[in-house]
Amino acid sequence: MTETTSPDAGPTRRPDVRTRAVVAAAALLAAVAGPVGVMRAFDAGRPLTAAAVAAVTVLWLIAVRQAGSATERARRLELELGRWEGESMTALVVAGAARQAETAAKARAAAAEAERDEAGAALARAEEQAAAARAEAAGARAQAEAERAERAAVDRIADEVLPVLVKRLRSGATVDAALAPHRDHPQRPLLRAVAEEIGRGERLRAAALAVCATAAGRVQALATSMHAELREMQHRHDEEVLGDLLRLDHSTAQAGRMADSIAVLTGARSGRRWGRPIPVESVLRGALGRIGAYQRVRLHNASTAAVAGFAAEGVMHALAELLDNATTFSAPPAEVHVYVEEVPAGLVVTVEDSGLGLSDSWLRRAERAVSAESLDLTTLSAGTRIGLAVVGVLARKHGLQISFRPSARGGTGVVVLIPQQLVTHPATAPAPLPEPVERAVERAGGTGPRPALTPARPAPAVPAAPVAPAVPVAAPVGSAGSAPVAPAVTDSGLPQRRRGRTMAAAAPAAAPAERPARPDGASAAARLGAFRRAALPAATATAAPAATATAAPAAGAPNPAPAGAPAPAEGAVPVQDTPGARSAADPASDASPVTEKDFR
Amino acid sequence: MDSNSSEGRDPRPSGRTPLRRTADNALKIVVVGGFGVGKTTLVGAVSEIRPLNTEETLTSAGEGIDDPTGAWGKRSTTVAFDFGRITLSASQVLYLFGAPGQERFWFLWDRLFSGALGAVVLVDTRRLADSWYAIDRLEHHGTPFVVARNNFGDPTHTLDQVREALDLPPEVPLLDCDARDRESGKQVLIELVRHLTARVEAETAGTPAAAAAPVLEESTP
Amino acid sequence: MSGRGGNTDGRRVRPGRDDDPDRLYTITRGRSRAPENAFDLVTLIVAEREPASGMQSEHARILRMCEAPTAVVEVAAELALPVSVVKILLGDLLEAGSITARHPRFAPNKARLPDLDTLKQVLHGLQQL
Repeated sequence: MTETTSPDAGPTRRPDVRTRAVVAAAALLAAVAGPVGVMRAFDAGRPLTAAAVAAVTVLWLIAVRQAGSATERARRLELELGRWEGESMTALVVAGAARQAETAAKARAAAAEAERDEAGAALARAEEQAAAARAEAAGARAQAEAERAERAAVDRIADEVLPVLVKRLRSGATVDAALAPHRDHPQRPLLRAVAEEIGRGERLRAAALAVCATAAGRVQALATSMHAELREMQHRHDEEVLGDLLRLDHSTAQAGRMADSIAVLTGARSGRRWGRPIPVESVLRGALGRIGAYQRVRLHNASTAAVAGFAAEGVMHALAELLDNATTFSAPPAEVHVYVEEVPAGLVVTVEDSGLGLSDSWLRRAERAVSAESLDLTTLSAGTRIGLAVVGVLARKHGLQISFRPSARGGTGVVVLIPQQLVTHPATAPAPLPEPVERAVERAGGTGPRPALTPARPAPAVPAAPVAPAVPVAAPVGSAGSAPVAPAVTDSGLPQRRRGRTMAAAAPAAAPAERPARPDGASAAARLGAFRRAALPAATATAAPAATATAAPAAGAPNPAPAGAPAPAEGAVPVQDTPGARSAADPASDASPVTEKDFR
Repeated sequence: MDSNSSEGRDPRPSGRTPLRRTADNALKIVVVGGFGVGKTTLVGAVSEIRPLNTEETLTSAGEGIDDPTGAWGKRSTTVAFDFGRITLSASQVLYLFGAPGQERFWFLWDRLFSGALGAVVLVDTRRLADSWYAIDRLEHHGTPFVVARNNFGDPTHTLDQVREALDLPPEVPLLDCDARDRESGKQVLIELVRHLTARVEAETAGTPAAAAAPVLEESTP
Repeated sequence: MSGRGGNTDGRRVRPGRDDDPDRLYTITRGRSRAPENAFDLVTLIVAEREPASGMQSEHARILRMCEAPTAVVEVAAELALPVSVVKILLGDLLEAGSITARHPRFAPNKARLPDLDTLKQVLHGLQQL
């Protein structure tokens, strides 16, 4: 506790000089000031003061002396003190150092402590983190497990659930019905979303296919009825119109094949069914007729076998597609040859073209196309592939075996095996030629055949003609008003003919038109048109009798119908009536003088 | 040879009946008339083969044929001609064609009348007007023809009345017939051939066709 | 052997009903015209050959049918084919020498009326019926 005084010790180390000076100054001051003060006091009459001053001076001197000694002592002391002070300083320094050390130590300790605290906190934090990490790890593990489970579930969805679901949906099940087995599936919402999407897609697909199939069906029906109509017309008209009709027929057949192809690809029924076995020649020609370049195809067939009716259409269609390919792959003048061979397994039809030939890869692809397990519409692009896809569907349907190979003719050969179960072999013996007429007639009694055609023919009350039409009585009422003049009737009640009037009526302006009686081509259409024009008015004309009856009821009276016969149309069309009915009729009809050509 | 032998069956075989191998000349006669007048019946009555046709009625016989609403597109038209055959001799064979008489079938006529000997117009007095076009046309082309009234039972009109109504020139034969009856049909054909013969004789005698008139009288039995 | 012998009648179809896969242009191989005036409706056709194997069935049937003289119109009715189509087929056979044609002697384009001899024969024939 000494150090507290030590800083003050410094100035006291050198007291001697200063002390002596101060003592000297004080003694001098006392020596001077004392006598001066005593004298002054004596001068001023103040003895006491002088005494006092003297006393003070003496005292002062004593004090000074004492002060000096004191100062000396103080100096010594000071020195001592200085020594002490040095020591003390050293001590102090040491102490300071120590103190500093201590402070430092203390600070260190504090820091350490802080550090420790901090470390503890860090530790705590670390622990916390660890805990968190542990928790996290646990969570991750749990998650991983969950994910594994989920993946498994998803895998199951992909591998099992969805395929079944899609299958159900594709087979027409509703979304709800398809989802029914998965009521408790954890991924039910997912399944539902997928199912609804697929269901929508499926409905769309089905709707699109149905539209195509329906449209194809309508075109097929149209083509079929057009074919019937055309055939009828072909029987009715001679060469002039026939060529045009055949061309129309051919176009119709090709359009029909397109529709058939769409029908096949959309899974619709085939266009038509044949109610009887179709001879292979007709099958080939039926196929031939459906392609554009049919005139380049040569058929070589000696087989009298026939293809079962239910399969004939499909076989024809498949062959048509193959023939179409063959003609497409060979340039126009080149012919395509078709050979038929009867083999134990059935009928082999070979189509050979002499085109450029096709690469192995094409042949393989073609073979795949006609034999692949099922049709994949998405693989269809080029026309050829459509044809082959159609062939494939038909081949699978009817069990046709089709293979492609390079042809000996240089092009491609397609071999189609129509399996035996589709093939029938009609009795080949031709019907024996009936005996010549004279013998038949003689045997019948020498006088010839009986006139009666059919025993079932109705009683003679009705005119014997088998086509005797019931004269439409009610229908013609509408035309009654068109009878401009009362009919001419003979006294006997029969309608009166006026020579040439019907022809004049039929062709009032026809005389000039008649001249080019049969020019090629140009008149063909005209004739067809003429027939059409004639057909309608003719019907009107036949309706006219009743009109007559209306206009002149008396006309029919004298000639009543036989019992049971339909109302008589006896008041037939009056001459004056006919122009109205017939003026629209064929103007090309001959009103002109006899044309040699007409009658030849 | 005049009577029909009836052995209870139609002796005409259902299949084809071939001609004699010596047959080398075929002749044609056309029977025309309105629908239902009995053309097919007449052809069938005299034919040695079942009447064939090159087309068939597309609707059942007798219905809709003359239906005014079904003219075109309703497929109710018969377009065919049916035909029968009569062997006349070792070399001659006669084909009979039944053709619809309406003008809408005129296009068939060229085919049928080409090379025909002549025509039989079969009429039904209840529908006399149905024959007008055929008669007009035959007259127009100068084709020889006879008119046969298909008649069974008591006729309401005399033949003269029919001739008057049809405005037939006197040289055109007109006779009654029963189209179902072979003999009757035969007589119609014979009448036509006689008429033809008269015309040919008249022509060779240098007289134009009109000179056939006197022959007519004798040829009408 | 060739052609379809057994179904001669079976193929008698109603032409208006389209129940035959053979389109006419495949039967005529695209032709629609017979040789000009080659055949009349009643030209009698006589086969000169047996049907050959591999022959088009219509040709074979015509040859079989015409072993005895047969009129064109009968052939058409029998084949259920239009007369004009039959004439085309007959033209093929005529060209190949497989048939001969006996044309009507009454040539319609030259004379408007038949000759008396013919008429006499016809009359006689009819009276014999």
